[in-house]
Amino acid sequence: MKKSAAFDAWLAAVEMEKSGVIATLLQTNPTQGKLNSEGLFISKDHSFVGSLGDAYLEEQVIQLAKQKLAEKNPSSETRIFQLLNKQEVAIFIDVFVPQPNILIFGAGHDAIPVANFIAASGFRTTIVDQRPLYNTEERFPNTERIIARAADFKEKVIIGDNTYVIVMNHHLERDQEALTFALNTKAPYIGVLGPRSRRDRIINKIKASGAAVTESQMSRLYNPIGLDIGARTPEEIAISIAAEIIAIKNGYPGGFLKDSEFIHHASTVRGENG
Amino acid sequence: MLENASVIEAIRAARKNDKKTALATVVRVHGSAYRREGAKMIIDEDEKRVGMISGGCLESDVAAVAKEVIASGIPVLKKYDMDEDLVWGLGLGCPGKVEIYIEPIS
Repeated sequence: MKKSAAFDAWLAAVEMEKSGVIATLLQTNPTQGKLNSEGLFISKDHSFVGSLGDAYLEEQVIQLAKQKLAEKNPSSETRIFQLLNKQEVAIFIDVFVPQPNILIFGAGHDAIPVANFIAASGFRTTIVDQRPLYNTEERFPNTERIIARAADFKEKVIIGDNTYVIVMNHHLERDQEALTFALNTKAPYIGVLGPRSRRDRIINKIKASGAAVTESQMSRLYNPIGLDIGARTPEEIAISIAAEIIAIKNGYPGGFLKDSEFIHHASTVRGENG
Repeated sequence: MLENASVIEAIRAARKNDKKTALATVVRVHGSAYRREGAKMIIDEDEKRVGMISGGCLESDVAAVAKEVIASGIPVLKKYDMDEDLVWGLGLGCPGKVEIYIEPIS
């Protein structure tokens, strides 16, 4: 009966959206081994809960778990391990990595389908806009909303290294403020709506204000935003943006699967973003 | 993660209501399959299911196995060869093999 401390620790980690690994011995033949294995949970900070019933086995599993937790897009998999007595056991290494949070600057009409598709895909979605009449639950269900102007961003808006940012205020000055703020965070993705000429204008204004814009900051900037699907309507544009975010999260290049031999890559050969 | 959240909610609810449950997890995929390793479905003693472990073709069979697992308390590793049209009579034509681990939880 799996009512183990390891399983409970895994449940808690998933609920709190913290990375972690649970290793489960696949008991394929109950008479084969005598391992008293209730499962082993390994947290992001490498603390352990539970046991696999064999110290040598645990050592190998913990090493693999640490390796997976250090990867950007780790995949869950079954691995065969050998015990000291050469007996082979199958362990399922289940890796949980929290989904990125998505933060959208701008609560205009075109942000509604973006928020809808992104929230429906399971991302925690936050809308930042200073206009209380636009930034409402009615317009943006299943999201969190922050009413804030640029001066309040530092205090009210939290952007971590797992927060993807979309800038779509349809307002040059507000986009500049949002982008200035986002560029100075660890956000791995900062998508900016609009053509490249507009982006360049904003970047030049940021530079003219005396702030440096580094290459590393520019590498996280995605503009024009979205995958190249010729999107025209707000809904098509929203799909293009959501698809780009999913591709980047999974470390895939986007594009057509047509005639591809495989749908999913092995984790070692994922795209550059992975 | 929306999907994980609903599975965990189901586990919490089952515990609260003192229902016995089994957890089915995709632990190995060879070739193509709709769901990848780590996908989960929770089945309670009333055969209520939350989560998806395939595109819809394995859920019923897994739920039947889960019922036995809940009764016996012994986990089962079930292997499905999606290409075996004869076995399934469904003609899925998906060249994948999927292994699903079904274990009792409480």
